[in-house]
Amino acid sequence: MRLYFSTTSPYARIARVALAEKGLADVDGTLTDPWQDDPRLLAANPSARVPAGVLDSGLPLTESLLIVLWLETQRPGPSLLGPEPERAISRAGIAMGAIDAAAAIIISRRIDTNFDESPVGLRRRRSVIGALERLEADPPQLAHKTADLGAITAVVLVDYIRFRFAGAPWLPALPRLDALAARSRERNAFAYTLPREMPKA
Amino acid sequence: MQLLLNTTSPYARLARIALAEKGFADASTDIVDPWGDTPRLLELNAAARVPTLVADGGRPLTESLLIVMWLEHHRPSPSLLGTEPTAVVSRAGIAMGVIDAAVHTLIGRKITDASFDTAPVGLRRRRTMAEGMARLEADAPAYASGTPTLDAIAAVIALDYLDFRFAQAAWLPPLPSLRALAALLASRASFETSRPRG
Repeated sequence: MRLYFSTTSPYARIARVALAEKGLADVDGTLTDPWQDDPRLLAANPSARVPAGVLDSGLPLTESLLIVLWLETQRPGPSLLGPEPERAISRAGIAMGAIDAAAAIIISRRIDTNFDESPVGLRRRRSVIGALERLEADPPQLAHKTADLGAITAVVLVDYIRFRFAGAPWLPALPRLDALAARSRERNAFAYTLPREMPKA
Repeated sequence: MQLLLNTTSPYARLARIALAEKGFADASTDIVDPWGDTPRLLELNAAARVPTLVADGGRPLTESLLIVMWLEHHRPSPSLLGTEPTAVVSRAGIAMGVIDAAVHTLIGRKITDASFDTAPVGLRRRRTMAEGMARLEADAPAYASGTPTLDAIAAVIALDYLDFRFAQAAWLPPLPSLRALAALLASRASFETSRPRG
């Protein structure tokens, strides 16, 4: 599989970590800035978004959660849903809501430089804060050989927040989630996908 | 089990149809106003979004695709992924991209008023809608009878939502195959009861 990704997208990171945790070794990663409209990315995904996978058969696979769903059907073991699937999925939902809100803030700054303090912007911020507080109160663990989807999405969220909103005064204290994120870096899949600015072309 | 939803969200419709097709047609529903911050919704979902599904043990499940994942795990049969899951997931991804672009356009109007549609980011969303639908039209999901697959569900939801929000938009290509698919599924109770309305 070829996988188009950026170094900043939390969605691409979810797919990359999920593929690695599932042990898919034959993934050929291609770095691309989705806002630059790489024709190969557009051919794979008319949304020009990452992650976008292209299977050897030529079929595209897009949307991070659909890629996870596809992985669960094609390679059921080890499962990314862990020993308590409902709990993992519930936590993943909280984290995904906040990832969407955080990504929406970053994208909306392109259309309104004062977006953060606008009514919709403050609503997105509230979503991020509420989700972080809930996850901090009941954080996922990385106790098993394979990280479950709740832990993957929570780590991706925390690292993305620290990357995009470093030092923001509205962020709550997150000692348990920060500890979880620090621990995740002992695993290759998390360490090499840490968010960072795109390299200059 | 209870599903919190509204009558316009394509994501809520996806969860609603998936639940019904999995045999949970009798799950109770609660119509809420996400932008009006219905307190119960906010309590269950920090993002105040629909769909929010409350599982029998009281645990909230959010995000339409996670709800589908939970359903596939909790009740594997009948599967929404059919006999060719890779092709189904591939098409479903294109349809979800269209749905996201349409919803982003509606929310973009809340941020910058209707001028959003023709601003650079708005035009990018429009391109996603037009091109995504053209690709689905060229390789439309199949439906014969019985349980529809996720690609057919998502494609029809995308089409109905575009018709609802962007009726007769000149930038949309003709979509005869997708309209035929939508007509086939329109009479299924899960689709009929969930048609978007204001």
